[in-house]
Amino acid sequence: MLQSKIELNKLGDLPDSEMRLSELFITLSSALDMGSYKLLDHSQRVAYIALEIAKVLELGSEDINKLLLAALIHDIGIVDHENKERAQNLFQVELGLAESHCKLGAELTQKLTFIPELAEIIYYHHHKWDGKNFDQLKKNKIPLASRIIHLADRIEAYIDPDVFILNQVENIIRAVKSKSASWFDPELTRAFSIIAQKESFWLNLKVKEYKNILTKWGKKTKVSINLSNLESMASIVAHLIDRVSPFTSRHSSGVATIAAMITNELGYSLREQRAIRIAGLFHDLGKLIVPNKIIEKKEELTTSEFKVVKQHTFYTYQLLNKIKGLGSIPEWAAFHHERLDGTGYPFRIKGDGLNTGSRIMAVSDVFQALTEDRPYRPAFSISKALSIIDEMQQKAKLDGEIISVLKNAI
Amino acid sequence: METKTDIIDNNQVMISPVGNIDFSNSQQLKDELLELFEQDYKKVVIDFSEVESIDSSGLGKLLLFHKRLKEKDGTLIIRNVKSDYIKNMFEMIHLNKVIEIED
Repeated sequence: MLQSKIELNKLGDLPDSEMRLSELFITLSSALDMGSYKLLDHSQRVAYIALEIAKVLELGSEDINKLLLAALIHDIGIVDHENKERAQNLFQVELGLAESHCKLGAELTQKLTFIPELAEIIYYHHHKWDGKNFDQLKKNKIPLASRIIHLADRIEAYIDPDVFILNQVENIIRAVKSKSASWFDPELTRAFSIIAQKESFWLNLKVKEYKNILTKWGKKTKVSINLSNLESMASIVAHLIDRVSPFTSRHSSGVATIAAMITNELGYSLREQRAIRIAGLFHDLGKLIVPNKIIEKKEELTTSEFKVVKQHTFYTYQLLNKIKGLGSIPEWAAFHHERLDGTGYPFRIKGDGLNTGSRIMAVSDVFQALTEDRPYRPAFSISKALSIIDEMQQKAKLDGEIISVLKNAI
Repeated sequence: METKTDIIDNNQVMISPVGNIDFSNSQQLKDELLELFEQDYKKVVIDFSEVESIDSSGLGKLLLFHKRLKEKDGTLIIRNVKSDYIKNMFEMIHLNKVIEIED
């Protein structure tokens, strides 16, 4: 195959050493809110409301950064769409759901050791001011950022997307006031009553101006990010994707491990191996848009269900590509269903546009997918999987050299 | 890399690599594991107490061997991981959810 030789020496590009935290977190928040029309942008909207409250309180930029980063991923501990909607469409969240997702969210974000404050903020974001909480902590003992997110989150939950927003303002103000000093910090409800008078505040929510406002804020969040920091983000993403279904629970891990092994054995550096592993952990990010009932379906998918699934790599690319400085990670992650002969999806890129990293990911994904159980079929044996892969190579779909590295390792 | 093999019974065997598992020796480890596989052991334990580090070539081999063994209804168990670095790595890439890791 001529094509497999052209780019073989070029793995792709490593990530930069600096990135905007805002972009990493906005991508994560978009992924969390995907898959349900009702939740569209919930996390970004909460972050915007929190920002307006923080401005009234005249918080410093460091505090605002932590507040907004936490706000963007505050619901990271919610397991499935049904619970998400329950949390985000009711003004009063059940205690059990509040407790479980706060605790799980904190546990997950603890892994982000480069922003150590996030876990605590997320842990307390449903804590009520008067202390009827799962651990009795109350009032000023609850971190300020958690109190702000709690209020912002409940305001956002109260807004009905189907009703003209300015007609809802009075009701929302009344609802918040009625919970002042019981659920919410009275100082924060006072700050909110100042903001709530401005029509522009509500209209920014209506016309999605909050996106631009968050982008502007994000320009100041550029920090050094090393591969270990990035891998801890990717690890959380893989956890989120894989926990959707027991059938996918090992998939990201397997793809990342196999892809990094192949990269190692092709002689690339430790940093390159790690960057590929990160892309492997990220590769199914876009799967978060696919409804669970399709992922778990026991019968063969219908044509139209398969079309829904096929979108996932498009979303992986779109989400990762919003983060500047990721090097080739968006391509490596998102091109795993592209094929050298141009018959893959969704970009239909041919071999000359697929660098070695993307080719490694494609082989790793096919092998891992074939050797794991799916709801509609048991796992193929390794030898059967390899013969299917051989066939794909003969049809000029996958890279032969990479396949032989894989075979040699088995 | 030096390895020691302890046969526990007809079903179980334990292998104890020493030092670093990396590109230079992971193929050798794989061969030793495959030999045990051919001998039909259903439970293969890898004792990590003297493993100082493992690179992506080593991790990949473990995963692939786990797949092999699972095909024959066997299990791979990693035991006594002493190094925090290795422990964190297993967790970071969620391999601890795939391969059984015992204390």
